[in-house]
Amino acid sequence: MATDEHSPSDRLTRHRLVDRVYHWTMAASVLVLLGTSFLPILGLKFPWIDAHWIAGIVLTVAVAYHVVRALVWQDPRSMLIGLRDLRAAVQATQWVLRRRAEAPDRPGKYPMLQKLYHHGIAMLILLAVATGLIMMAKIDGPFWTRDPYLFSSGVWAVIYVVHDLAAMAVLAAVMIHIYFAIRPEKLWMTRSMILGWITRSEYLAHYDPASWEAEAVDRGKRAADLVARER
Amino acid sequence: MELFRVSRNAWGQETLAGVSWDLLWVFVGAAVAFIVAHILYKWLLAPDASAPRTGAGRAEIDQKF
Repeated sequence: MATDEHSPSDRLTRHRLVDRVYHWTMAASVLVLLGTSFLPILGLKFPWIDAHWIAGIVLTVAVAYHVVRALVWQDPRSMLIGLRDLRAAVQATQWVLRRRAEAPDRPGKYPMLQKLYHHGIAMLILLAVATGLIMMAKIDGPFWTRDPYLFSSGVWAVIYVVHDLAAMAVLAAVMIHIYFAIRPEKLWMTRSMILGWITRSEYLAHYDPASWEAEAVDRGKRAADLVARER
Repeated sequence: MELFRVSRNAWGQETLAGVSWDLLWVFVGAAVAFIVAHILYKWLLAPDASAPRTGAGRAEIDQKF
């Protein structure tokens, strides 16, 4: 994971510790959920139900935490897709098709494709979580007893179909997510999800400072203030 | 390829039990196809993303620092 030559004071925060803990908690629970659901189907037989529902509860708590934090303490507008994103998408398309020489405008903290991925997988995870919580009525747990007659067989069928489709789509989305995370030109993003920071040169190369004012890691001050003081 | 799993209830009626596990390979195949297509695109067709941007834009950004 290349970190380039830079001083620690050049490090800018991309993901705070709480957000990284959330991300990796969600990642671990999703991987456990996928493993405990699909490995038995592929022939690896083991008692999967307890691990599956416990990981599901961990994911549910993590998602609930993230929703509250995103809506109350973070800026949910930064995830909205606006005209600026659409303009950059048109520019990017023209650039890819070689109808435009200049690279597309830099985004704010989240490029449009990341926003689209987030919204897509968020929908899938919410569907899987909602149906999974309902499906827990079919098993005995430490605080509840099973009630398989909670719904008619037709309703249960719909719940199972939605849960299955959402889980399979999550598997595909996770494969694509991991692929991008290990691509050489994206390793700086992966590092930021582990260590929290990006370098000033990465910031300047990939983001529009007017749209996202990153904070310096060490002093918790705005990047512009940091450099101004160094002048 | 089946699209759905079905089971029989106590009266011998077929009831929908979920999506066929065969579809798992459709989703995995779609993801692999996307990844291979992207690798080929980046290898053969993608413009150089490391090329410098316009001087005016760069100067404006540098001025912030």
